Amino acid sequence: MIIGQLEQRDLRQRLRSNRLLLQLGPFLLRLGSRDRLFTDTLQLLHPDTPLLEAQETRLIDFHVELQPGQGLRRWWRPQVAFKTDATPPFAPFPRHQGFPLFEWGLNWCIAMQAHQYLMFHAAVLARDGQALIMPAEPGSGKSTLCAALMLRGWQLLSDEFGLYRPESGMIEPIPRPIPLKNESIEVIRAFSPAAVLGPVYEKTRKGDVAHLRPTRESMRLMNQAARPAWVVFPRYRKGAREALHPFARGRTFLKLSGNAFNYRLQGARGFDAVADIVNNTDAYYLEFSDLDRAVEQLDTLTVTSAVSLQL
Amino acid sequence: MPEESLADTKSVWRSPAYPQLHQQEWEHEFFVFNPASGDTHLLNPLSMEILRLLGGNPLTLEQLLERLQLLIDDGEPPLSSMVMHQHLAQLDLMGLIAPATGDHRSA
Repeated sequence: MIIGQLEQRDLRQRLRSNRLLLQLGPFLLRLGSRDRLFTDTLQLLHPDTPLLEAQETRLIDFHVELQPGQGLRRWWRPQVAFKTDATPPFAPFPRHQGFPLFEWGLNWCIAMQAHQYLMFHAAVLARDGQALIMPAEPGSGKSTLCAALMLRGWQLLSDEFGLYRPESGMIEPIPRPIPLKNESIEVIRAFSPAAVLGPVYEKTRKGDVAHLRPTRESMRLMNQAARPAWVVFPRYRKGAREALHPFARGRTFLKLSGNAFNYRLQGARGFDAVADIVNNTDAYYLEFSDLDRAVEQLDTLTVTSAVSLQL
Repeated sequence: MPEESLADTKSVWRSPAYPQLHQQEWEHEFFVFNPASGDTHLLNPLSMEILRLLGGNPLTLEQLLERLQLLIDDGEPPLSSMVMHQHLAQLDLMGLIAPATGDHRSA
């Protein structure tokens, strides 16, 4: 069963009693909330996220609750707090920002705990089981480009985490709504009529934010891991002409190891994993100003790859 | 040559870390991971060759110079003690080499 198949009343009941069990990629999440606005947004942006029934005995990775803030403040400026294992890891948000708080809080849970993976701060997409890793710094246009690729048919593995399992050499998907910021919101709305966006949260800590729903195809492939084939470092620059420039392997190693949240924690496993990726992928630098042309450039990677496979 | 530097040329160095290092080479740059420290280092070819030699046997600076000189093409200028001092000091700082104890000068 998926969230979209639940009656709204049933979804609210499960959330109120802290027994909504969600399968988010390789993680199982128990979620609770009494906030109706959050519930409605969850249903809009996570309709294809699989549910587990309470009687299914599985180890739960994260216990998360979104609870109203306490104290006098709740009377004139209501807040919402993110709690995991009953501990709030950060300060409450304004009440109406429950959904972005949930998504950011979940990122925090994964980054803090999922050390079975080497975790890259990267968007990851795939075509025919071949993964494109796009590590990038904030403001590089990574999420916007990731959204555009997904809307043009690439499988979304994640906009935030490259979950690389060194033992298998594969990246595991965790498709979730893509947070678009500021101008990117209207850019993506104009880019594709198929884009389903949630509410615009104004003046959050990261500016205005709206979430883009993952495509149904990406959700359908949620259990299909992909093998790294390309590493592309994107950067938006006004007026840039799109072209893929080959990137040296040594530089790729430096950038990828610096990009992984838990590279140092992984020790030799992390070094060997990054080296494996560098040795088995082609790396490029991509400056872009136009989304259609950027997608076109990245599509050529898959064509080149298909030709070399035929040879 | 100052007296202090003369003494340094007699110091014996070794690389206990070398056998455990994880290594990768790309475009004549060497990336090594040292499990003992948890650090990753980027080394130039000369540093890597010094590590390789000191991973085999403890050597003095003079002995290192002799062996490295054999690897240098005829047309290239000889290695100076100053350059070697700098490399050894840097590798020592990184924890990749250490002064050897006991008498290893017969190596």
